[in-house]
Formats: sequence, C-alpha cells, structure tokens
Amino acid sequence: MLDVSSIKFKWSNEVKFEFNLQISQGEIVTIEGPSGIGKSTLINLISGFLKPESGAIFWFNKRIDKLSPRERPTSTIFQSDNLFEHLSCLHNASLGISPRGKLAFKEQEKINNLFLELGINDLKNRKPNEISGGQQARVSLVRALLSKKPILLLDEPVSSLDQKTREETLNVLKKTSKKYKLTLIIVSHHNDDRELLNARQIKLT
Amino acid sequence: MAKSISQPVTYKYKNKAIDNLGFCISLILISVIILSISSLLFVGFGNKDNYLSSGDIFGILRFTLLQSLLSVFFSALLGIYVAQILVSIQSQRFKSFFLSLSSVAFVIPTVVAGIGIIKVWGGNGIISYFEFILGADQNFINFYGLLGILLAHIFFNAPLFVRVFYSCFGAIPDNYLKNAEQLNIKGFNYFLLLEWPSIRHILPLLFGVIFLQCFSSFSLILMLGGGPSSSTLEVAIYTAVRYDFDLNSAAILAFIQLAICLIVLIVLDFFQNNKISHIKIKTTFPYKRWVQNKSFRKIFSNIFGMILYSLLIFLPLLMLIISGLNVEIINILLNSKIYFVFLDSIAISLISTFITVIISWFVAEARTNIIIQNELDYVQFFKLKFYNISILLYLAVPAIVLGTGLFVLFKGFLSYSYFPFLILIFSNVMLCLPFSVNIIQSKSIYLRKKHGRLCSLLGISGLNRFLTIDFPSMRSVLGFAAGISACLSLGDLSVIALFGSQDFQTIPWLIFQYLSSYRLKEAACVSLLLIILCFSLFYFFSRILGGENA
Repeated sequence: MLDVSSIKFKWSNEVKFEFNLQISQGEIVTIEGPSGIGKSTLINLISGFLKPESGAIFWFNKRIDKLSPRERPTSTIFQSDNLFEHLSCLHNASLGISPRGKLAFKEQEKINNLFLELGINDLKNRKPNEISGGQQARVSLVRALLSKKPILLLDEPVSSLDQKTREETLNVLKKTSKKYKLTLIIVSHHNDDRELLNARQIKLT
Repeated sequence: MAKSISQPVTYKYKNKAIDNLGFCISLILISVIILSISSLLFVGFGNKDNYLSSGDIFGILRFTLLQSLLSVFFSALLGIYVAQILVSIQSQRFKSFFLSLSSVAFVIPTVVAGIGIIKVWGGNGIISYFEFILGADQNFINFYGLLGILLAHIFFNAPLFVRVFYSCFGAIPDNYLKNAEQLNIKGFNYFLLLEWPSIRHILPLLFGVIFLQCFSSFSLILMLGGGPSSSTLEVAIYTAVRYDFDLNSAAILAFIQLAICLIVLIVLDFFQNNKISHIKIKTTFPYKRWVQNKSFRKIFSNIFGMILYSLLIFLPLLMLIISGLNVEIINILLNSKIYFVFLDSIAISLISTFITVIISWFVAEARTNIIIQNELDYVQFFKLKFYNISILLYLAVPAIVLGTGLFVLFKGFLSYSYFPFLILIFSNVMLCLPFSVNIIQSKSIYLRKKHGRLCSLLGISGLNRFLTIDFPSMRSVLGFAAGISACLSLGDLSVIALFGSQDFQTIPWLIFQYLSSYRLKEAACVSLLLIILCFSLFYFFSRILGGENA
C-alpha cells in the first residue's frame, strides 16, 4: 500500500499544500480538482521531484520519501515530452531496461512482445514526432512496464488527445495495469476518465 | 489617412531606397576588400625576393591550424563543463552574476586581456609567485608560446561557449530531465541523450566562427607567442611587411590564409539558417526545476570546474585591476602626451562607431527585406548571400592583409599623414560589422513582423514611420550595437601595428609599446584606463543613448 502521510509542501507563503492519502496495490485512482489545487505537485512529491517540508511517504511500510526519484518504486508519464525526439520508439522504450539502450536477446524479445500487446508493433522504428499522441503514450507505457516499477503516475497524459484516442488509451492503461498489477495514479480533468478506468476518485479541495 | 481593410496589406517595408543603399554599401565594402587583396597579391607575386622557405611556410601554417583547433576544442570543452554546472545550480542570482561577469570578456580589448593573462601566468605572474613559495627554482610552466596562446583564446571564447551551451541545456524540456532521472540515465549517456541533441545544431556555426577568430588572431599571438616558432600566418605576414618588407612572402601567406578562411566561410554560410543570433540566450528559467541530490563526486567536480573557470577567466580580470592600480598611474595621468593618444583613440572609435551603426542598420534592413519573404527567387537568394559575404568577409580577410593591401593600393594617391587614420577607421568598421548587423538584424526582423501589417493598415510609411515607429523601437539595439562597436574599435590592435609610429598612436599601440620595452607597470595602468574608458563608452551608448530598456 502507498501511504502519503501528512505531506506538506509550499511553493510560496500563499501557495501551500497538505496531502493525506492511502492507495492499495493494484488500485486505480484519479486525482481530480480545480487548476492550482496541487494535483501535479502531488505527483511530483510521490515521484520525488519535489521535496516535502514535512510528512512521510511509505510503500508497504518502507519509507520512500528520502529516496531519489530513480530509487523510488514509481515511474511517470507526463502530458508531453515523454519520449526523446531523436531516438526511435524502440530505443526510447529500451531505456526502461538499460540506460544505454543496449539489450540482450531475451530483453529484446520482451520489448517486442509488449509492442505487439499494446498494438504498436509497426511503430518501433519511427521517431516520436512521426506518431500520434496516443501512440506516444503507449510507447511510454511500454517503457514504464519495462522499468518494473509497481506504481505508475500519470500527469494528465491524455488531456490533449481527442475523445476517441483518449478512450482507447485509457482502455489500454486499464487492461495493462490489471495484467501487471500496477498501481495507477492518474491526474485527470474529465469525469468520464474515472468511469472508463473504473477508478476511485480522490478529489483535492 | 488609414487605408481601408479591403486594400492589400503589404508585409514589406515599402522603401526601395533602403534596399538600394544596403546593396551599394555591401558592394563598396566587398570591392574595397577585393581590390586591396588583389593589389597585395599582384605586387607580392610580382616580387621574387623572399625570406621564407616553403618549409617555414608549412611550419607556420601547421602551428596556425594547431593553435586554432586546440583553442576551439578546449574552449568548447570548458564551455560544456561550466554550462552543465551552471544549469545544475539553483540560485538565479548567482547565475546572473556569473554570466554578467563572464560577459566582460566579450568587450574587453585583446591587448588588455593579454596583460591580465600575463599577470596570472607570466614570468612575474601570480602562478610563478606560488611556484616560488612552494620552493621551485624556476618556472614549471613555460607560458609564452602555445600555452599562452591557448590560455588567451580560452579566456575570450570559453565565456561565449558557456553562454550558448547554458542556454541550450536550460531549454531541455523539464520532463526529459525527470525521465532521465527515473530511468537512471547519467554520466556520458546523459550527455549523449539529452545535452548533445540540444547543442549539435549550433556547433558547426559556433565552431566555425570561433575557429576563424583564433585562426586570424593577431594581437594575442604577437604578445604571447614568444617567438618565430609560435608564429601564425597573420603574425608572419605582419613580420614580413613591417620588418622585412618582404611582400612576396606576405602575398603567399595571405593567399593561404584567405583560401582557408574562405573555405570555412563558405561552409559557415551553409549553416546560416542556424544563426547564432537566432539562439535565444536566456539567463533565467522561470520554471522551478526539481532539486537533484548531488553526490560527493558531483559536488567536488562542480567546485573544481568553478575554480578552473575562475582561474582562467576571472583571475586575469581581477589581476588586471589590481596591477593597474600602481604608483605609475600618477605619472601616466600627468603625462600630457598620453591624453593626446587617448583623444585620438576616442575620435577614431567614435567615427568608426557612427559609420558602423549607420551601415549596419541599412544592411540589416536590406537583409530583413529579403529574409521575411516566404519564398526567394534566385536574384534575392544571391542578394542575401552577397549581404552575408560583405558582413562576414572581414573574418576571412585578416586585418594585416587588408591594411597592407590598402597601403599598396592607395600609396600613390593619398597622403601618408592621414592614410593610417582612414585605414584604421575602415578596418574598425569591418571588424564591428558582423556583431553590429547581427544585433540589429534580430530586432529588425521581430519589429517588421510585429509592426509591418499595422503600419500598412494605418498608412504609416517613409520618414513618418522612421521617426514614430522604427527609431524609437530600434533605439535600444542601436545603442547596444554602438556600445559594442565603440569598445571593439577602441581596443583593436591590428592595423595600428602596421602603421603605428611616434606620430600616430592609439591606446592599444601604446600598451603594446610599453610591453615591448618590458614596462609592464605602465602597460597595466594604461590597460586599466582603457577598460574604464571602454565601459564608460559602452554605458554611454547602450544605456544613455540606447535608453532604459537597453
């Protein structure tokens, strides 16, 4: 279980946040609320890109808020700039296994299977700017799955997509998270995202 | 009266006079340069007596290429290293201060910087002082020669690399950095995946310009070269003309230098689309970047990098001020002859600045007329290339070659009493033109796109447009260009090295004379006064004439 316990953070004296929440393993939750309420701040605090002033974050009773982002059990998909533009989709995904992007035969096979599974097998050699936003999200998902981190944080990954692509991408996310028992925390502005994902709502006020 | 909306809105600046004037200016500049070079080559190749063997020439060429390539390489290396450190530092105030201080190297005259570098690394410099304290009987560092030249070129070029690379690294999307952290991408992989793609597009142009500057570097080599074994083509031409009057060797050396520089220039023109002036040099990044945990190794590396940079860039500046404040400054200030040298230099600088800014504006506007068009026909394409060449040609044509060529060309027509004065102004204008045009150009394109339609709609054109719209908007960049031009003109020691005498002196020439007679204290004092003068002129032009927004 992910336990965010009395985490406090402030951008300035006027903009302060405090978060308390618990999320079970394999659960899908949507973080909702008006702009400026701290949805992305929460994602950045869990993933370690922001340091809280006080409080603690636990993953199965192990304190993780002192760890660096690379040591935490989290991977993140952002709204944009998830893939390095000068690398092919395959190379981008392979960074989930090896920072150098060099793979053993078994690892290559694993990537191929994931590309097949997510329906993007024909995109392997394309560059990110040659594919759609929804496809980019899937390539990012392959990379996140390969990094074997149990918590997947999504900071509005589908908000810029059209309705049809958004639904398709969310369905892929839902299916994949179930299969790989991922804990999914997704920042969303759309009510129907929650319904599509069959997710629990965490509304920030 | 305002035009009706139904009328076609012209996007072009409807002033053909600017086009014609810009073209004529470029034509005159190119013609003078080509004529002067041709006359030198014609007279030189006609004269069969020479002192240099082909082995000597090959040796000079090899050293010139070696020092240029090494200078570019080490400056770029230091630039990348320090830019990486700077990006990782959180304090905006520190970064702003650091970059501003580094910018001093852009405007400081070469001859003055040479003094600062000697005060750090030279025989009686601060480094030898520490060697002496540590018990060394003799200097471990043989400063004069390749090492001195490299240190001087790094002093001038590393700050530019830092600025450009810092801007590029700072523009890497924040999510890329976050992804890299989560995916454990670090070290050389981090450079390859994130930093290299952000700088590779500008490297050819940046390397090319810096290479040309180092390749045709003159005053620094003259001061720090330490003898014939460390002579470059430009210094060898100077020696051949000034001391041996060996025009044949000068012509051969000039021909080689021109050929290499022109090849680089043509390659550079190929990369004109990625103009350095188009790179937005930012010093602040509003987004709050996440704070990385720094390992002990990283902290040590950062401190080492900062110390190294300070030693190479900031310490010479500091030593320049300290060494300039010695008792000799009173004698200098009481010497009336020095005042005349300063007045001559200021007059030359102001005339050069005035001409440079006027020419730059016309050429920039004429170029803008072409650049803002979506599709260019052949005539416009070649016209644009013509403008580019007229601005950049001086990078390929060394000042000494130009000076000698003009001397050969006009020696029968003009009186020698004011001939050096005119050549100096011409070479100053050519020296400042690439910087000045690029400064004005960016703003000109921006304003044309911003105001062009509106002015057409409101029917504002001609002198009315110039006085009410263009000049007030351009004032800040014109002031800045004038400030840079004034500093460059004031501190240049190239053509004056050929024509300088007891009757005709400038401040850089005076400093060089003091240095040649080992009067380092006087040289340091005059250098300090020159810096003060440079900054005063820069302030006057950029802030007072340029306005508050400069």
